[in-house]
Amino acid sequence: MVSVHSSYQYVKLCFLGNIISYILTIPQCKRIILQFDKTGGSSKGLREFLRRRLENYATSNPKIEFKIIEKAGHPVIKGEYINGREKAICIRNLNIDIIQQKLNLLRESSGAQLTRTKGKVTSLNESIRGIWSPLHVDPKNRHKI
Amino acid sequence: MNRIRNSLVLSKPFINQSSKLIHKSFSTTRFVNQTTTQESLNTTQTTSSSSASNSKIITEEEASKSALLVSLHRRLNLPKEFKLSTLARCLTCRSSQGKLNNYGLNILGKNFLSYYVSENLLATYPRLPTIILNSAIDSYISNESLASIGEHSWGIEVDQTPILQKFLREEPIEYSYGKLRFLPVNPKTNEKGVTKITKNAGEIDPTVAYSLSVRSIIGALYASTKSETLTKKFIYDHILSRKLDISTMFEFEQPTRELSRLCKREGFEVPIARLLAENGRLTKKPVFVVGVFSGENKLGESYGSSLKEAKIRASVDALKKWYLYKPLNPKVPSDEDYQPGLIDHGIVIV
Amino acid sequence: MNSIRKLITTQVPLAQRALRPSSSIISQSRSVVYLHKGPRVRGLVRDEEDYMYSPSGKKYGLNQENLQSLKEFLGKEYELPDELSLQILTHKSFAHGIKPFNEKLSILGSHFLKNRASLYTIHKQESKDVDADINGLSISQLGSLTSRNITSSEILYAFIKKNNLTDVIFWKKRDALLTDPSKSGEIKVSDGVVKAIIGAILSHHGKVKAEKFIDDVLLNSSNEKSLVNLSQN
Repeated sequence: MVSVHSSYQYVKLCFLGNIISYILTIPQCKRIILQFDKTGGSSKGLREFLRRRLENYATSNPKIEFKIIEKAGHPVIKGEYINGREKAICIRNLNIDIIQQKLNLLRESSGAQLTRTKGKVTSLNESIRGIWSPLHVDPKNRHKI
Repeated sequence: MNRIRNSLVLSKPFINQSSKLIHKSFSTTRFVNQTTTQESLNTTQTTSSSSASNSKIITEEEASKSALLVSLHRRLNLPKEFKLSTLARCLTCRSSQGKLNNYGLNILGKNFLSYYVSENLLATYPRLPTIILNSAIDSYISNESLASIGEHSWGIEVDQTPILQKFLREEPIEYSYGKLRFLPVNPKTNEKGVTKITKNAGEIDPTVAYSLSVRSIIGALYASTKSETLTKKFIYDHILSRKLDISTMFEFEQPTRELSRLCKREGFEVPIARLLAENGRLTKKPVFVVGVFSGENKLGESYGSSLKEAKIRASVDALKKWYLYKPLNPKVPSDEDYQPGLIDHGIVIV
Repeated sequence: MNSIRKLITTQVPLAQRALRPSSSIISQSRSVVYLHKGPRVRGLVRDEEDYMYSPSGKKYGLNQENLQSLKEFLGKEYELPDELSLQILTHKSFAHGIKPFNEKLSILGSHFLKNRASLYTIHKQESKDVDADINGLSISQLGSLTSRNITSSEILYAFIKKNNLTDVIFWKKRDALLTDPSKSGEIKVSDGVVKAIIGAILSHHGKVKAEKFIDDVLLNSSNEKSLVNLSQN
């Protein structure tokens, strides 16, 4: 009698979610928040960006929502990601070009925490070569003592 | 600095017009004058009230003002025929508000999903036992799986912002059209320290609400385009592209007996287990490699730390190889160049 | 590493190479010499002649008598191979599932029928709420009683009866004395057979033909025996 493995859960499906999103060109960044100060000198670059480039930038990134917040203090840009995480970059005293670079950084990030990958290859698929087994070696070539 | 604000306000209508996504919100209400405050308070209250009395229909113009809706539409690469107002409807659950909800679209989407997923699984694994087949279909399209797609793959958000906060932020009403709207389970009870688990009528879990919206987006894709090909492609892209390891789902109660029943039914010779290799029989950790043979044919092979264990594992291996038979380049019946493949006789009953 | 023993001599072909393990794990080949007839005796294998009958008394087998009514029903256009036709008519409960049965065909057919029925509802049925329509499709009708009724088990059972397929279905009653179709399981079995027919046409002829079959035979309002008309009565 066949039955379904009790510990089996739908969750196993979820791991691939992000990879598929990349293939389907769903950007992981869903929202970028630009927070500026109305008068502060450190916000000069961001204000200039909002005035001159935001429109073009938003037009060329239609899959991302842009939200502008005015708040006293140093300017900050924040990226909100599909995985529920958030990345914030302080952009005080930065000029318009560097701000655009920082925005690109947020846009292209996956939102996942940066981790060091172990091993050269990561895959959900089993190795097609299989695992070497000493018991399956031709008896002629086995190690003899 | 008024210039900056002016330039923002000026650029906003243009960006909205071209369906681009800018939404401004201010953390202070300093710039808001009294009349607009009163207006937005009223409107926010009406739209956010969860009563079903509000039978407002979201128009296309209103929907296009919601940056969230437009970005979701673009993110999913939905075709132009799929209207933004339809997308807003997909995110509105029956328990929520408004006249138009996603109930009917959800049924349509569910029927498309279950057909294409079952067709695909049956074509890929023609011999899959029913119980595994149903569980595999469920793995793809259960509420939990669809909710995880909606939340972690498509980035749909739940409308949870309290009314007061919306008002303080001066958030336009349209903004929440891009969020998932439903009546959540209210855990409050009169008793102190008691949490309610059962739901009142109309209240649903976030998981169910997410899955409703995902299904109804699929249903609405068909309704908007009337194209089954597009719907099928969408399902293959977003649902069936996920990896599901079916071989880990099997659990056999009596594998050796089932294998011998199978061989009898299919007219194969009686299966015989043979020892292929062994190591350290008299030690603490022996290893045996056993193969199951039917006549000259090897059906399966596995290892074990006792002869019995190895034999059972080998039988399981043989059964899995039978049940997980996979034709090369399987075609599903909805493909144009479909050729009939293997039609399974059914599971072995022990 | 000193204990890897040389077990296999290379002259013997692969299958026979292995050493014969102890008799406890080897199952010796066996053959049945006596097939029992008459009342069941525990431990004895029964003769197929004795029990391979449908509840209506038809003998199981690939013959014209069994397949005639299904063939007539399908006609030339949706013709299916004989083995598949017999499989459609066999339920899992028959002969303890040793003969090919229709369980998975009916799962596929069931999903396809539901899909087509919902499309029929939005395309053909009249909308009661024009505001809720999308693209001229009556979305509001989905989930209504009329649309759910079309594919209900009772209607599918009535369909099987109308088309004279009841007698040739091979299954086993829960209790031989039960006559009420809902209690004996007849409704559920018949429901499975209709869905298996759809599943088999889908698997054998592809989706286009299966769609045509459903539209022409099952969901055709001008056809007196169709599900649409049966559900309205």
